[in-house]
Amino acid sequence: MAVETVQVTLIQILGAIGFGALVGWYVYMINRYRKSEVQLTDLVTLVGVIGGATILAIFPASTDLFGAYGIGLAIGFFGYFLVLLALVSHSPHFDSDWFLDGRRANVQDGYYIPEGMGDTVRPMESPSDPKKPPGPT
Amino acid sequence: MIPIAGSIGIGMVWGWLVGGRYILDGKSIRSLLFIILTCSVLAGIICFFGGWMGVLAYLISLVLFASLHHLWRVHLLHKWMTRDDTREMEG
Repeated sequence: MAVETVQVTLIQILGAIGFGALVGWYVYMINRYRKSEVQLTDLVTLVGVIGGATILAIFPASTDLFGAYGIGLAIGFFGYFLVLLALVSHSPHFDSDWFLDGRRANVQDGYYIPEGMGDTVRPMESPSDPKKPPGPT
Repeated sequence: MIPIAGSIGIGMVWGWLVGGRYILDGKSIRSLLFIILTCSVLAGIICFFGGWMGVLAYLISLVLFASLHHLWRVHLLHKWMTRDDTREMEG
């Protein structure tokens, strides 16, 4: 049985990549700024975001659009991560320890952190005692 | 080509995410089962769009990026533990 393939235009491919990049960027961001503890049920939500019914409805089968969406997803997700790495490595107030427990240099004179700033509760891993390194992984 | 590349992209993102979650949730059996379940769901979706080659590419990039995330954490921890830390940092 021959599989019927549906041709898509370049602009559709670019649109799917752009949409994927937006979702990937946002997935990293909401994962970073979540307020609650790490729960595995979060993964179910993320499966819904990455490959849920809406995505399957937008991108019809037998087209390259889902593939283009996957490419964009990786670009957005790792784009956010690379921007974060670049910002941390260029800032004199942060170093790689920030990725483990969120530590940073004290705020200098003349600077302040306004109330209500977005809190990254757990940049990557949070030890019970901030003075000690987190347990072995 | 595009479906395979897309499958690799999804595998990269999902591998990185579940690699982190597995460690943060204490490497429990429960978390492992949850991860296998969600990875299987995504594999099914990818099989629908990208075929078996897509699933293969997805699985390879998934394992690669989950391992990469783990190794990156180990590297950061090693840096932390071996550093002569005399800086004034707040927790």
